[in-house]
Amino acid sequence: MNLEPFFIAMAVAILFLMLCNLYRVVAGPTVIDRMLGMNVIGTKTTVLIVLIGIIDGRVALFIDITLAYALLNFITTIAAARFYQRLAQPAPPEPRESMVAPSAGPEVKVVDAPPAAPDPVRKETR
Amino acid sequence: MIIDILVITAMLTGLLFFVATTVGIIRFPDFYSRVHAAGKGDTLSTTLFLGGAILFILGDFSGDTLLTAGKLLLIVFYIFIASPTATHAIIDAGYEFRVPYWTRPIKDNGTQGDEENEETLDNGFYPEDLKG
Repeated sequence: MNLEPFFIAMAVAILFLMLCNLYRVVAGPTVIDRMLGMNVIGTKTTVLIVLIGIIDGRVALFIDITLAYALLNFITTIAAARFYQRLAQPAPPEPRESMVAPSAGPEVKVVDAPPAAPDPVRKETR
Repeated sequence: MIIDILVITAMLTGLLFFVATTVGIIRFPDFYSRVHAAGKGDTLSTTLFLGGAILFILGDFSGDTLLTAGKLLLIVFYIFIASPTATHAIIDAGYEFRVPYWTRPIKDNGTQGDEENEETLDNGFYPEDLKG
Protein backbone atom coordinates (compact mmCIF):
# COMPACT_ATOMS: atom_id res chain seq x y z
CA MET A 1 0.00 0.00 0.00
CA ASN A 2 1.38 3.36 -1.02
CA LEU A 3 1.17 5.69 1.91
CA GLU A 4 2.63 8.78 0.29
CA PRO A 5 -0.70 10.57 -0.42
CA PHE A 6 -1.69 9.92 3.18
CA PHE A 7 1.50 11.51 4.48
CA ILE A 8 1.03 14.50 2.19
CA ALA A 9 -2.53 14.91 3.47
CA MET A 10 -1.29 14.70 7.07
CA ALA A 11 1.37 17.34 6.40
CA VAL A 12 -1.18 19.67 4.81
CA ALA A 13 -3.59 19.15 7.73
CA ILE A 14 -0.85 19.90 10.28
CA LEU A 15 0.13 23.01 8.34
CA PHE A 16 -3.48 24.21 8.30
CA LEU A 17 -3.88 23.66 12.04
CA MET A 18 -0.60 25.47 12.67
CA LEU A 19 -2.02 28.42 10.77
CA CYS A 20 -5.09 28.24 13.02
CA ASN A 21 -2.77 28.36 16.03
CA LEU A 22 -1.13 31.41 14.50
CA TYR A 23 -4.36 33.28 15.17
CA ARG A 24 -3.66 33.04 18.91
CA VAL A 25 -0.13 34.33 18.34
CA VAL A 26 -1.39 37.33 16.40
CA ALA A 27 -4.45 38.12 18.51
CA GLY A 28 -2.91 37.88 21.96
CA PRO A 29 -4.29 39.32 24.20
CA THR A 30 -1.19 38.94 26.40
CA VAL A 31 2.42 38.21 25.63
CA ILE A 32 2.27 34.87 27.36
CA ASP A 33 -0.53 33.70 25.04
CA ARG A 34 1.71 34.43 22.10
CA MET A 35 4.51 32.42 23.67
CA LEU A 36 2.15 29.50 24.22
CA GLY A 37 1.02 29.56 20.60
CA MET A 38 4.59 29.65 19.36
CA ASN A 39 5.49 26.70 21.60
CA VAL A 40 2.73 24.59 20.09
CA ILE A 41 3.67 25.62 16.56
CA GLY A 42 7.32 24.78 17.18
CA THR A 43 6.48 21.36 18.59
CA LYS A 44 4.36 20.60 15.55
CA THR A 45 7.13 21.77 13.24
CA THR A 46 9.23 18.79 14.36
CA VAL A 47 6.44 16.46 13.24
CA LEU A 48 6.19 18.35 9.97
CA ILE A 49 9.91 17.99 9.27
CA VAL A 50 9.73 14.23 9.90
CA LEU A 51 6.78 13.92 7.52
CA ILE A 52 8.61 15.92 4.87
CA GLY A 53 11.58 13.60 5.27
CA ILE A 54 9.38 10.52 4.83
CA ILE A 55 7.77 12.02 1.72
CA ASP A 56 11.16 12.99 0.36
CA GLY A 57 12.58 9.54 1.03
CA ARG A 58 15.59 10.74 3.03
CA VAL A 59 14.47 10.34 6.61
CA ALA A 60 17.98 9.80 7.96
CA LEU A 61 18.97 13.27 6.82
CA PHE A 62 15.92 15.03 8.22
CA ILE A 63 16.02 13.34 11.63
CA ASP A 64 19.05 15.37 12.72
CA ILE A 65 17.35 18.60 11.68
CA THR A 66 14.33 17.54 13.70
CA LEU A 67 16.40 16.84 16.78
CA ALA A 68 18.12 20.22 16.55
CA TYR A 69 14.80 21.97 16.05
CA ALA A 70 13.22 20.29 19.06
CA LEU A 71 16.15 21.30 21.28
CA LEU A 72 16.10 24.87 19.99
CA ASN A 73 12.36 25.22 20.44
CA PHE A 74 12.56 24.07 24.05
CA ILE A 75 15.41 26.43 24.87
CA THR A 76 13.62 29.34 23.20
CA THR A 77 10.46 28.73 25.18
CA ILE A 78 12.29 28.42 28.48
CA ALA A 79 14.30 31.58 27.85
CA ALA A 80 11.24 33.64 26.89
CA ALA A 81 9.27 32.36 29.87
CA ARG A 82 12.10 33.16 32.28
CA PHE A 83 12.47 36.64 30.81
CA TYR A 84 8.76 37.25 31.21
CA GLN A 85 8.82 35.90 34.75
CA ARG A 86 11.72 38.17 35.66
CA LEU A 87 9.59 41.17 34.71
CA ALA A 88 7.11 40.28 37.41
CA GLN A 89 9.67 40.22 40.19
CA PRO A 90 10.58 43.39 42.12
CA ALA A 91 13.54 45.41 41.00
CA PRO A 92 16.86 44.74 42.73
CA PRO A 93 17.77 47.24 45.45
CA GLU A 94 20.19 50.07 44.97
CA PRO A 95 23.81 49.10 45.65
CA ARG A 96 24.87 49.67 49.22
CA GLU A 97 28.36 50.20 50.40
CA SER A 98 28.85 46.64 51.51
CA MET A 99 27.74 45.41 48.10
CA VAL A 100 30.03 47.53 45.92
CA ALA A 101 33.50 46.29 45.12
CA PRO A 102 36.35 48.76 45.75
CA SER A 103 37.42 48.52 42.12
CA ALA A 104 34.05 49.71 40.91
CA GLY A 105 35.08 53.34 41.04
CA PRO A 106 33.35 56.38 42.46
CA GLU A 107 30.67 56.63 39.78
CA VAL A 108 28.57 53.91 41.38
CA LYS A 109 25.86 55.62 43.35
CA VAL A 110 25.88 54.29 46.89
CA VAL A 111 22.93 54.83 49.15
CA ASP A 112 22.68 54.04 52.79
CA ALA A 113 19.38 52.27 52.80
CA PRO A 114 17.58 50.96 49.76
CA PRO A 115 14.32 52.73 49.08
CA ALA A 116 11.20 50.69 48.95
CA ALA A 117 11.22 49.19 45.50
CA PRO A 118 8.20 50.31 43.50
CA ASP A 119 6.19 47.38 42.32
CA PRO A 120 4.32 48.47 39.22
CA VAL A 121 2.90 45.11 38.33
CA ARG A 122 1.44 43.54 41.39
CA LYS A 123 -1.58 45.69 41.90
CA GLU A 124 -4.71 44.50 43.51
CA THR A 125 -7.03 43.30 40.85
CA ARG A 126 -10.19 44.27 42.66
CA MET B 1 -0.38 -4.24 5.53
CA ILE B 2 -0.93 -4.51 9.27
CA ILE B 3 1.81 -1.95 9.80
CA ASP B 4 0.16 0.44 7.35
CA ILE B 5 -3.13 0.21 9.21
CA LEU B 6 -1.33 0.87 12.49
CA VAL B 7 0.44 3.89 10.99
CA ILE B 8 -2.80 5.34 9.65
CA THR B 9 -4.58 4.75 12.97
CA ALA B 10 -1.83 6.38 15.02
CA MET B 11 -1.57 9.41 12.76
CA LEU B 12 -5.31 9.95 12.55
CA THR B 13 -5.56 9.77 16.35
CA GLY B 14 -2.73 12.27 16.61
CA LEU B 15 -4.50 14.55 14.18
CA LEU B 16 -7.66 14.30 16.28
CA PHE B 17 -5.76 15.34 19.39
CA PHE B 18 -4.12 18.19 17.51
CA VAL B 19 -7.51 19.41 16.31
CA ALA B 20 -8.70 19.36 19.93
CA THR B 21 -5.59 21.30 20.98
CA THR B 22 -6.15 23.92 18.30
CA VAL B 23 -9.82 24.33 19.17
CA GLY B 24 -8.88 24.69 22.83
CA ILE B 25 -6.20 27.27 22.15
CA ILE B 26 -8.49 29.33 19.97
CA ARG B 27 -11.74 29.01 21.90
CA PHE B 28 -10.88 28.88 25.61
CA PRO B 29 -11.52 32.14 27.43
CA ASP B 30 -8.37 32.76 29.44
CA PHE B 31 -4.70 31.95 29.56
CA TYR B 32 -4.75 29.13 32.09
CA SER B 33 -7.32 27.02 30.29
CA ARG B 34 -5.43 27.55 27.05
CA VAL B 35 -2.32 26.16 28.69
CA HIS B 36 -4.40 23.24 29.89
CA ALA B 37 -5.45 22.50 26.34
CA ALA B 38 -2.01 22.98 24.85
CA GLY B 39 0.04 21.09 27.41
CA LYS B 40 -1.70 17.77 27.16
CA GLY B 41 -2.96 17.56 23.60
CA ASP B 42 0.24 18.82 22.08
CA THR B 43 2.43 16.26 23.82
CA LEU B 44 0.18 13.30 23.09
CA SER B 45 -0.45 14.19 19.45
CA THR B 46 3.25 14.67 18.78
CA THR B 47 3.99 11.32 20.40
CA LEU B 48 1.35 9.59 18.29
CA PHE B 49 2.56 11.18 15.05
CA LEU B 50 6.16 10.25 15.67
CA GLY B 51 5.11 6.77 16.79
CA GLY B 52 3.37 6.30 13.47
CA ALA B 53 6.50 7.50 11.70
CA ILE B 54 8.60 4.98 13.67
CA LEU B 55 6.28 2.16 12.66
CA PHE B 56 6.40 3.22 9.04
CA ILE B 57 10.18 3.43 9.00
CA LEU B 58 10.52 0.02 10.64
CA GLY B 59 8.33 -1.41 7.87
CA ASP B 60 11.38 -2.31 5.80
CA PHE B 61 13.73 -3.59 8.45
CA SER B 62 17.48 -3.06 8.13
CA GLY B 63 20.34 -1.54 10.06
CA ASP B 64 19.87 1.97 8.71
CA THR B 65 16.17 2.09 9.42
CA LEU B 66 16.85 0.74 12.89
CA LEU B 67 19.25 3.63 13.52
CA THR B 68 16.72 6.13 12.20
CA ALA B 69 13.96 4.64 14.33
CA GLY B 70 16.24 4.83 17.35
CA LYS B 71 16.83 8.52 16.74
CA LEU B 72 13.10 9.10 16.34
CA LEU B 73 12.50 7.27 19.59
CA LEU B 74 14.98 9.61 21.26
CA ILE B 75 13.04 12.58 19.88
CA VAL B 76 9.81 11.12 21.21
CA PHE B 77 11.38 10.64 24.64
CA TYR B 78 12.77 14.16 24.59
CA ILE B 79 9.49 15.76 23.61
CA PHE B 80 7.65 13.70 26.20
CA ILE B 81 9.84 15.30 28.87
CA ALA B 82 10.47 18.75 27.41
CA SER B 83 6.99 19.74 26.33
CA PRO B 84 5.40 19.54 29.82
CA THR B 85 8.46 21.30 31.19
CA ALA B 86 8.05 24.17 28.75
CA THR B 87 4.35 24.36 29.53
CA HIS B 88 5.13 24.49 33.23
CA ALA B 89 7.63 27.30 32.70
CA ILE B 90 5.11 29.29 30.68
CA ILE B 91 2.32 28.89 33.20
CA ASP B 92 4.70 29.71 36.07
CA ALA B 93 5.66 32.96 34.36
CA GLY B 94 2.04 33.81 33.71
CA TYR B 95 1.06 33.05 37.29
CA GLU B 96 3.79 35.25 38.70
CA PHE B 97 2.74 38.03 36.35
CA ARG B 98 -0.84 37.77 37.67
CA VAL B 99 -2.38 37.21 34.30
CA PRO B 100 -6.12 37.64 34.88
CA TYR B 101 -8.30 34.58 35.01
CA TRP B 102 -11.76 34.17 33.68
CA THR B 103 -14.82 34.05 35.88
CA ARG B 104 -18.43 33.96 34.90
CA PRO B 105 -19.72 37.52 35.03
CA ILE B 106 -22.12 38.54 37.74
CA LYS B 107 -25.51 40.02 36.93
CA ASP B 108 -26.89 43.17 38.49
CA ASN B 109 -29.17 41.24 40.84
CA GLY B 110 -26.28 39.27 42.25
CA THR B 111 -26.79 35.96 40.50
CA GLN B 112 -24.30 34.51 38.14
CA GLY B 113 -24.70 35.41 34.52
CA ASP B 114 -25.19 33.16 31.56
CA GLU B 115 -23.78 32.96 28.10
CA GLU B 116 -25.80 35.88 26.82
CA ASN B 117 -24.21 38.64 28.83
CA GLU B 118 -20.81 37.06 28.91
CA GLU B 119 -19.22 40.08 27.32
CA THR B 120 -20.84 42.65 29.60
CA LEU B 121 -18.39 42.47 32.49
CA ASP B 122 -14.69 42.42 31.92
CA ASN B 123 -13.07 41.13 35.05
CA GLY B 124 -9.64 41.10 33.49
CA PHE B 125 -7.15 43.70 34.29
CA TYR B 126 -4.61 43.92 31.56
CA PRO B 127 -1.77 46.21 32.54
CA GLU B 128 -0.82 48.57 29.81
CA ASP B 129 2.59 47.11 29.26
CA LEU B 130 1.06 43.68 28.79
CA LYS B 131 -0.82 44.69 25.71
CA GLY B 132 2.19 44.59 23.45
